[in-house]
Amino acid sequence: MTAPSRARSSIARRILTVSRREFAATVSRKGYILTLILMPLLMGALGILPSVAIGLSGGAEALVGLNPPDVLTVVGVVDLAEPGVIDRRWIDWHNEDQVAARAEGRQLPEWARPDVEVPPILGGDPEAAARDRGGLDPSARLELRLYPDEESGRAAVRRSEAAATFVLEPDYRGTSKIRVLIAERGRLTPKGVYPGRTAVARLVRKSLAAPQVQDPLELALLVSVMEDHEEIVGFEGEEAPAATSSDDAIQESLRIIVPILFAAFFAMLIFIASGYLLDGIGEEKENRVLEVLLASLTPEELLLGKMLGLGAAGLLQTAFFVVVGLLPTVFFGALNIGVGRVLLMLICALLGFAMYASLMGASGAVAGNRHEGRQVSAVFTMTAATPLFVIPAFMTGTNILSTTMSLFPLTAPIAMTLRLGLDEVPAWQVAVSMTLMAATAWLAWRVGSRVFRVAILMTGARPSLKQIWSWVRGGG
Amino acid sequence: MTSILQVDGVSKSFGDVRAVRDVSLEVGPGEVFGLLGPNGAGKTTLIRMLLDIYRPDAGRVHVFGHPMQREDLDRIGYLPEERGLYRKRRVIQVLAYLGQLKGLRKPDAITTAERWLEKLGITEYRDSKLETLSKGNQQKVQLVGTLVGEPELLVWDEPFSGLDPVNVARVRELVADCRAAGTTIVLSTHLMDQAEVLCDRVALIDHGSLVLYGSLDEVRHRFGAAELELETDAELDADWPGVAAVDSCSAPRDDDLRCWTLRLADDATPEALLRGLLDAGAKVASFRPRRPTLEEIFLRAVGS
Repeated sequence: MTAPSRARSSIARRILTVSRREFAATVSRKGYILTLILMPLLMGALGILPSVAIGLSGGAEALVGLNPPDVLTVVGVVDLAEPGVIDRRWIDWHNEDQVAARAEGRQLPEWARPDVEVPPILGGDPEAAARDRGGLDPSARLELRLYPDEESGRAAVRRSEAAATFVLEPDYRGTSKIRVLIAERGRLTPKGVYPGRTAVARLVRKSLAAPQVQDPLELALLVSVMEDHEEIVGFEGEEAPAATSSDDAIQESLRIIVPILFAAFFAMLIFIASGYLLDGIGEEKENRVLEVLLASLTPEELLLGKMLGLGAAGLLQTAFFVVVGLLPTVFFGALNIGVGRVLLMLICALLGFAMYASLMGASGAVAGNRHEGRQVSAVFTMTAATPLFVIPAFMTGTNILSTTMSLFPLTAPIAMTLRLGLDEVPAWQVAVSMTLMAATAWLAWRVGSRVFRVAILMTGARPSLKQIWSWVRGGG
Repeated sequence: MTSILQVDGVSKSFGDVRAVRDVSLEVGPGEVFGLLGPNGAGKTTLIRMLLDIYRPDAGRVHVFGHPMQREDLDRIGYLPEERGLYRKRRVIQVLAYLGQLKGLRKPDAITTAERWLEKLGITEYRDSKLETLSKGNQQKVQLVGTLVGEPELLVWDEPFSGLDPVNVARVRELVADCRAAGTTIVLSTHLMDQAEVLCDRVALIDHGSLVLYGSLDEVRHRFGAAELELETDAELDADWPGVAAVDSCSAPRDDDLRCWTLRLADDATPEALLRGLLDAGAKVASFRPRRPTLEEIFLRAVGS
């Protein structure tokens, strides 16, 4: 027989050959590609769904806190600006038009009708006027009510007389600052959306434009009418919540949402990639390829090669999801997790993958087929996912549950990822958690390989736990 | 001469089942060695221990003159009984992968695979997906998969299963070619006629134990030395001096002669039986030791 031109067949080279094949086979699967495309679409749909649901249940009025078109909604205005900005005549003009529109059953108020001459705004620029006509819902009936001071405006909101009160700050003319007093913020109401905002902006513009505008600063103000800051004042009889700006509220939401998103993505890395491993082994067991491969590789090399290849495929998928999923937060400058922290979270996820992939590899080997493999592995999946079921425990800062879960190796991959994102974790806890995870991953690989070695070629009845234990002790 | 494969007192149990019990055997270089036994005898478990897939509970396995090492797998080609390949992949992709796992560079693996595909007459399926091939051709691809690493030791478990007579003959030629090239072959098969033709030595395993081991001649001698075929007019039976049992006899011919197959008693010799027949005035037209087939030996050994 011809002497073979054999390359140096190191263990690393063999493992790499397996991992390359596994990677290529996985990323070329229809299921993988579909998941890659469909998952971001699904995430996008989940983002849009609440708005759609609101639209179906009550439309834009419900979203911004307006009453239905047949019920008048009062919006308060308090003019503290020095000198004053609001021209009372424009309030009357607005309210009269709203009443007339109601009586006539008009869908568009006077100012929005094309046949009515537009008051001179921005020097009579028709395009700007057209823009100014835009509102969330022109058919909504709004009454603007001028309150003499902030207290009365605040009280009107608290007793639900006014849906919101817009307070023009004393330095309004220099800063455009308007404080919006609302009783509460709807969970799904986007930032900067308040009942009557468009009407108040129009009122301010008209008031400012009424005299001939000469001052360049005022001209600028006409373009950017309001830099609004939200203040939630609560309802009458309740204690008003601590004042926070809308930016603070958004930041607070993102502080929670972004780490949870990261944790979810990394959890997906663990589950999806381990799932591929489980499926791959099940498929090869069904195809009876495994024994052919075991003539060239040790079971340990085969398992490790598969873990690396499928881990890389899972990592690629996760990276894609992370980029697509978190791109908007980066775009809006709301990514509130540092690179170092993300790296630590990634290490947790990879250690978790190593740990669970070994155990799932063994499960796949023990199971007779893919379906059975999924059943056997469910216990690991549920264990790993436990922290996701008690997320509130992680949102309330350090406590015994979150600390225990982040140190216990089987729940640590996701628990520590959550804590790293949501909280300041003491360095020693991170170190202990990662050390325990690494040790457990190594142990899981050793145990998994031993079970894999014997079970991989078994057919027929599923082995008993006693049998599996004897394999673990006996080394296959 | 250093043996290619040496198994010393190997045992393996799974729970309460003792799959292999204290088996020892040796396979020399360039030999075709038959591993025979009924279903569930422990052949596959023994083969898996030879390849370090299973670790023996007791005993040791030496290959190429030393304890089994990781690198030795590159020098061994293995065709398992329960076999399959990646059905959705193309033939050449799968073979290149198997070659790479044996340490070949991809281009070398492809070249070697192409050579063996040609030898087995299936070059046309080089780029076909495995699932589109007939069972017989898939089987041939499997065989090429074991050869693509240019092994020094081939372990084939039931290589003839699923093949038609033409392809059985082709595989026999392949065995002959490999042997001529100096490759040592361990052949596990149920087909005794094939083993009889191909193997230099055999081992018969039953219930995990080695019940028979040696060259074909040795085995036949052991099982056939006390058997005789003769044509005589004497009325033989188990009471005849020196006869342990009469296995069969034909109907008497016109010349009163009958063909007899019988086994000698432990203390008897063919010479003494012949002398006794002649002394008794019987006509003896032919008298020769009988060579049992491997299948008969198998059935007798397993039956006992």
